[in-house]
Amino acid sequence: MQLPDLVSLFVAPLNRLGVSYMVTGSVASSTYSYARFTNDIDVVAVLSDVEAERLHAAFDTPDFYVPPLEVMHLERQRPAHGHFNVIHAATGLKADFFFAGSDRLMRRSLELRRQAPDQNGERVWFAPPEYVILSKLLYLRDGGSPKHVADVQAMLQVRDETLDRGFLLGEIESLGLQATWASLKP
Amino acid sequence: MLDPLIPVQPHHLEAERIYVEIARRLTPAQQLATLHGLQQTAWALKASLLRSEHGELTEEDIQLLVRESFRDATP
Repeated sequence: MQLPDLVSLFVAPLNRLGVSYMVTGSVASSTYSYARFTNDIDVVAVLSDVEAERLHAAFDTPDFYVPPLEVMHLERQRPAHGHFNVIHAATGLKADFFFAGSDRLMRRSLELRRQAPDQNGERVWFAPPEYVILSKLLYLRDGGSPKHVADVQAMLQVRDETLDRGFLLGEIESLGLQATWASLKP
Repeated sequence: MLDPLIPVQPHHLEAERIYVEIARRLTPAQQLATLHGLQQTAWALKASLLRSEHGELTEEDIQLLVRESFRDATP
């Protein structure tokens, strides 16, 4: 029996729709560095109105909580940070879907995403590690939880030599994250 | 978790309420099964990423690296 998991519940529908997406957040940081158990998955996606409706339809069953379609459309119209949650009723597993909208960093990172299949052969597209770090720095600057500190430090420890420093440091400067970054460096 | 970058909207609060309600309802056996599923997926993804990034590693090397990553896992 296949156990419920974040990929089969929330990523597989995106693959079936053929939309451009990337997994970020703690699922990505723990795949890139040390394992950390989390029961939610953060996904950035480029969705047209029609694709948003199809994704909504994929979750609009008694098995899931998904907000009303009009809420999804409102969130999609935000220039940045539009998002909605989907929750699997039987397990409490949760997905936070973020609309890429016109967000420059998200759009740039989607071009650099990389894929890895899971145990069932389901393809998973991951945000580049630099984006995962940057998004956690943004959370931290705006009052995010200390777990983001541990995630960033683990990624720096494990992937330090392979990070694209030009991308990372350039975005830290353009996003005004220098102080947050300096507070985390070992 | 509410996103600190976004002003709280009614539907975010509704999702949070439902999430807490489901979490309270789950039995320990259900929670354990879910945790097992999460671990299997996390293990597979980690191994898969290592395979794609380090073609020079043997499968034994990969499984060892994944095991080490889980040994240092944090809650």
